[in-house]
Amino acid sequence: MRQAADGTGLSQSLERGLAILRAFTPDRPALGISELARELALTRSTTHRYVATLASLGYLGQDHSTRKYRLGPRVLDLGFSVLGSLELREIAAPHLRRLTDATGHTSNLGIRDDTDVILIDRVLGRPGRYHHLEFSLHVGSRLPAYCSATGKALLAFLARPDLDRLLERIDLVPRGPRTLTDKSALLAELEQVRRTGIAVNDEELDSALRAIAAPVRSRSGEVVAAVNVAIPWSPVAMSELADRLGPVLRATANEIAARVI
Amino acid sequence: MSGRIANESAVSGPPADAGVPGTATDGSRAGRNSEFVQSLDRGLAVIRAFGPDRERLSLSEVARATGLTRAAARRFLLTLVKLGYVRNDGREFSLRPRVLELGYAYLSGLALPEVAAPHLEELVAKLHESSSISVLDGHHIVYVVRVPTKRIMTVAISVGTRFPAFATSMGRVLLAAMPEDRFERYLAEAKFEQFTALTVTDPARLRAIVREVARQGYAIVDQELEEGLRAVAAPIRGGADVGTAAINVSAHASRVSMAAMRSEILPTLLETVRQIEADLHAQGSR
Repeated sequence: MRQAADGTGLSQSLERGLAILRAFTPDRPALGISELARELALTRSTTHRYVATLASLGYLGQDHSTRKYRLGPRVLDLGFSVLGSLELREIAAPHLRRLTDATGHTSNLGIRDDTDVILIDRVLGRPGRYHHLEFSLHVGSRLPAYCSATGKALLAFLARPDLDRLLERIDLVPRGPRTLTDKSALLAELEQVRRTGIAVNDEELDSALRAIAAPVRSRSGEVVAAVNVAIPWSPVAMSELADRLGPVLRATANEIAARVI
Repeated sequence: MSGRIANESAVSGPPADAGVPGTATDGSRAGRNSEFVQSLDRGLAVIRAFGPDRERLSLSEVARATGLTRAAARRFLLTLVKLGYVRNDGREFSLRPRVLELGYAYLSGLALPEVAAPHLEELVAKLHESSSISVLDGHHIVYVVRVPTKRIMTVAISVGTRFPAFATSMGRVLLAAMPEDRFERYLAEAKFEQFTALTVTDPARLRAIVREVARQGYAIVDQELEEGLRAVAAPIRGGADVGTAAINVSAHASRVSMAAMRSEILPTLLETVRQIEADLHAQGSR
């Protein structure tokens, strides 16, 4: 029934059905038949058949008062529950994309390698909102952990003896105008990261560059990665930035964590 | 916020194979409704054929798992490759992270996970046990929020995981919130599998248990889904986009006695429910 008639060997029905599911976004969670028909450039009757099929299969539910449709929990069966076994980077990618879309800023996913952070994925922010350092960074770049937001998010949750051993080998050289070069100041800051679940870098890595990061935990609770947004300096207070962006970073980290084994 | 939406499909009850990955709905369904696009059902079944233990599948394996011919399975797989949902490395196919978009759009469209997550984190920090929120989908519960503890031995459950409603504390809370006729239909149609020696599978006993849950406002389940796993759940009302949801705290039986579930964990859980409902109410009246 209704296979592609154009001889491409593809299924138009599947393509249309997925296009309907994709039309629902967090900004537009409820859509009516006319809106969907317009968006997909289909007739109302064709749209209705597809929507009725998706609804009878449980992928869509209808809001009784507005007659509009919403995604149903069954869409989680379409791969979502599978990807817990994928690599961290692949799991995180769409979340970094969303984080960047939501904030406009470059987002990064980093893991710790000894005293460094390695960026394993990144999504560049909107043009005009880069810091010059960002042009030289790429997937695989290393940053010193002690003066980067991702690094501090990763250091803060180490067991104290491990942290002490690591700090012995780190030379706290000034990299930016506000690098914490005093060990006790750094330890106090890491204590705050543990308390708030948010790490910041306020011109500690380079001048005019700030970042805010949150730890990503594995299912066993271990901090395995950190996610951040890099923000070019502006006259806004760092604490205000952290208040503003902390929740979305924590949410992003938790969303990634929920899918990591 | 718009009005309440049914937990289940509004058009008709979801197919009885809900939660069985990869099986296309019975063809007779199409016969009942001329509007039904059967090839869409079959194509989506190809996505569901992939699972945590079936990450990479050959064309024949997909055909076998879905009951499709090789030609049909191939057409759906190539469509999914073109759309970026499936990767093809030589003879094997696997899902690409792009499929996350669909589930993510569902979760992000819900107000409840965002409102509830910080409360769950507090609850988990206080009790040192895992907590989750789920909604009903057909005969199953589906996790929409989960906050694991930091313990090494946590149960491997992630968002999107589904379990049969009857054997879980959250499922019983959700069944208790159902209108009477829907619940009776559920009892008549659902399959009750004996997961452990303690699993209650008798419909008459389940009816009595669920009525008691409705009366007392919470459910405690002792090792009926998995040996060693205990959980207590309560309903969350006021999540306009999901209807009634359920929240639980689960713990290992060796750590938490049934008496402690009731006297220590339940009151804390109910306090968390009050906070979440207050936040939902505040958000709804904004």
